Amino acid sequence: MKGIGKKAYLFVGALLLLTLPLIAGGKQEAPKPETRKGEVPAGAGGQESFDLNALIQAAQKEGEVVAYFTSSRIKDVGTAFEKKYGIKVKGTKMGDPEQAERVIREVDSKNVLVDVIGFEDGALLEGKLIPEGYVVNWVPPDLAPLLSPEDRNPLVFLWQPRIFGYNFESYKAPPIKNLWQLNEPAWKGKILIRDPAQTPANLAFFANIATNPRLLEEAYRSYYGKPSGINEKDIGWEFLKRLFQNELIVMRSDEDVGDAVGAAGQKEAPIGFYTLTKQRDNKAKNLKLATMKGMVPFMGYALPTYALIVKSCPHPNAAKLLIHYILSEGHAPWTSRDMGAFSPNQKAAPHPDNEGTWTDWQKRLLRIDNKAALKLRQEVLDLWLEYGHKK
Amino acid sequence: MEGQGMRIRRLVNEFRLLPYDPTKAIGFLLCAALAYLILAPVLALLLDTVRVNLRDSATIGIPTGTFTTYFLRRTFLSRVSEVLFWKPFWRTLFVAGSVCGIAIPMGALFAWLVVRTDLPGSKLVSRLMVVPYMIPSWTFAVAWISVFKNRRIGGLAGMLETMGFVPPDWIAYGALPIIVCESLHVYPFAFLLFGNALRSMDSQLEESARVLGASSFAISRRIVLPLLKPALLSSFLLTFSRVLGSFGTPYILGSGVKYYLLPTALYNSYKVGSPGVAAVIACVTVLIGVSLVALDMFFVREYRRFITLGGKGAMVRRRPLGALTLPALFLTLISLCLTILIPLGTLVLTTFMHRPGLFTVENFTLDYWMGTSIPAMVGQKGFFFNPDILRSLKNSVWIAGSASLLCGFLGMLVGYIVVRLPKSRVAAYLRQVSFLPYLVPSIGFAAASLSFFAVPRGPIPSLYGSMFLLVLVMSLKYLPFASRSGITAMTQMGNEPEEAARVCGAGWLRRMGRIVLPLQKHALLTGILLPLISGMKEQSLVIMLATPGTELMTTQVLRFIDYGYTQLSNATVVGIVGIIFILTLSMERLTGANLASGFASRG
Repeated sequence: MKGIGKKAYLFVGALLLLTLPLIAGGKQEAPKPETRKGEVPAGAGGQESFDLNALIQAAQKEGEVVAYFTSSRIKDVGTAFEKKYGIKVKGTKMGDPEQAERVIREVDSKNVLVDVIGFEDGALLEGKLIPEGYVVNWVPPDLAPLLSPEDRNPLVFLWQPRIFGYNFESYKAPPIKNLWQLNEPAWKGKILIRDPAQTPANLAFFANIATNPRLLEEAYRSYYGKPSGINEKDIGWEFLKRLFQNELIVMRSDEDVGDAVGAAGQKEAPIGFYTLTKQRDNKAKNLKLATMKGMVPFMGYALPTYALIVKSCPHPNAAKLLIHYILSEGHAPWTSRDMGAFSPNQKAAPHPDNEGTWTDWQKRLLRIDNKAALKLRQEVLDLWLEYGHKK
Repeated sequence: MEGQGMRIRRLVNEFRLLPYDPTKAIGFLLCAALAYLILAPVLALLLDTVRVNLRDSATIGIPTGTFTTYFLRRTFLSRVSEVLFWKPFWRTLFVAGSVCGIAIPMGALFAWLVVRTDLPGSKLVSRLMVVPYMIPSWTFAVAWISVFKNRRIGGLAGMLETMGFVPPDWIAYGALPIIVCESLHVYPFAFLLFGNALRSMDSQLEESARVLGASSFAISRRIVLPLLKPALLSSFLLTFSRVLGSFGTPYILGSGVKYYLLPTALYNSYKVGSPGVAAVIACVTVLIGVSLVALDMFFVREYRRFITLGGKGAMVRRRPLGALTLPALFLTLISLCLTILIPLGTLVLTTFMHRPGLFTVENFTLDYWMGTSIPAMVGQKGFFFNPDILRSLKNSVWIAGSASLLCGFLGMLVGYIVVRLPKSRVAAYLRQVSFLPYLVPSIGFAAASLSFFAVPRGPIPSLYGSMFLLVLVMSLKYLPFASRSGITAMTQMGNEPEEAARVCGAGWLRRMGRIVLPLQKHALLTGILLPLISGMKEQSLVIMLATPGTELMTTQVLRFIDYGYTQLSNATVVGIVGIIFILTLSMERLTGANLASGFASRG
């Protein structure tokens, strides 16, 4: 375009300078939010006098509650909750990274739309969201005694075993007896998992493998009959490296893993790593899934789903009531209607198909240490990106 | 001699004249607004590549807000840079280059057939050829996946699988299908560009060469090909940049086998919670896109002299095909089938079958359109009753509608200012800045806007998760179209009517409302309807901005694909295509314009 020349650039430059304060001004992160105030007292099972009826009344005045959960069954929970208390639940299924993004953005911009999150990324929770006050941990005081202390902070409302499983049509007995077997060439390209890059809990699992060298060494010795020869510092990472090099196949969800592993009519079906709940569809979808019973040193890990209240949420009392409901009876859509999941509430009876109670399962699973997971997560992810993507 | 007093009086006068001639003031306001809405986010994106975001600080241990080269190093130099960036980068170049290699000869061939030979039905063929470009680019990908899917991705079996053939991975996913689908979508672009060039090429040039004794080969080499160079270059650059910014197709066809291109790599980084790396990838995408389009604009100016050659009533003699007529027709028909009939037909067909590929009577059903409950898909209903689909339809219409209205008026305003203040810096600035969004690949523009508007800025609250953000970003994205048409329209309208009104004492608002807009309603309509249609099929722009509750039809398609709900995703695509066809046809009736070519024109 003719006639632009120097003056135009000066003009444009001046305009940009004008906009700078607007760019810079907004860029300051919101000042550290004060932790805990007013109506949402945090407490890990304190002995405050707890008036359930007052809570119900306050919640009913608020009228509705907005929830983001990693499970789509929040909709069923919501329907039951509404039937009991007349409070509408706007539940949406949403993955961890998106939930985290929304909560952080909403709290930072002081425009909080969500009340309760059902969240699986424990590392981010304990590492950032709770200490920096984005979410608040609230345990219903009357139910606290029914939960074991480790389940209270952060509050867990659901435990799911995420385990290795196989297709019982293809194999008469569990084909994997020991963790180290997963690295063997026979299983190259035949192990399906949910994409670690998109599943923080799976990364946490791998991170915790790396921090349990003694378990790994014992497992090695029990399987191969001789010491591994790898020193304690490196054995976890060496295991992970070999595992990732074994061409794991990633799927978008545990459901996809279950469907692919359990599909009928396969001669040599792959094995998979999925949440036990996927086996509830064995009849409906004609799947042949079975758990890798007896696998040493563990079958998988215990996947917790945490329930937390978002800071400055619009319906704090309804949020508390929803959490109270889920812990006391509302967990039914997950735990008693179908198999595969457990409530931390020690009074809750497990589903008959569950192959045991939660106490039984805890012996078979690795428990995730969130602090370790947070520290090592990036390294595990990078290891995965480096070795797991060799195609 | 101008003293201080004179100057002040001048200013005061200008101020008093404002209601009658606020053109300059509005011009300044527009400049400031566009600077804020378009330039600032892109600058903020650049900043994001070196500042630590909260999500990143959790994983890398550097406090939020510090300046660092960490992300640049991680994306370009680290041991994971191969996976995060370089592989997607080279693959994108490879795919884009291959698409050009297929689409351009294809487009050129058909352009020649339609313009330069006596191919029967060439007018109809010409109209139909543009259809693949009108439907969303990922429509082909959805159709492909329905047919060629295998067990690498969960969910309902593909058509071929059900019929007993299991397609190998390299046919079902990855480079091959991506290249094929993109080529089928994008070749009409080359078709139109070459068509225009051929049409304006005077046959007399070739004929005089023949009279002088030149061989056919020499004529092609020394006259035709050089004259086609601009079309060739343009179609290459613009096709390349289109593939660069395309998100849907690589997402649907590549994610299952970890075949990532730049747009999907960007999306992955963002979704995984690495916004710093995502910003770096976005900047690279933007840089490449901007250079490609800038190159094109530069060459267009360079080559302008080529076009004027044919300016005086070019005569285009049509070559008789003779024996080649039948094969040519056949080829054309096959191409039309491949690009229109088969993809759309497949999509429609699958929506009526429980298991696509099983051609038995019991397998056909209306469930996925009318059903109130679908056994295989827990909690889902058929298209016309499905709350997710209906809500996304409402959102699409609402968002695209508001965006197109905003865009149309803004474009008209820009046109007004630019034409009424000729040769001023304001006009030049407006022209450039309103055109900028065209240079920025959609997904990069979305990333920039998301990070910029997600925090409150002065009086403007955070727009994160709001519909308004979608409306805003969409209207900015299509502003180039609208401002182009606004400028063109205003250029053709003289000053006189407005001046006459001013003399009669009409204020600016009155003049706009009673004179300018009524005279320009044609252009305004175009400036509104064209973005409306584009907005209904837009996906790359909105995929990063849509959230549950603000899903649009185009993002809802991806959700269904993620869950493996083939029939519902296909039904939604059919719905989108149907709406686009209806809108396009009505628009052509209303404005008498040939919309299809309007789409593929350079703006």
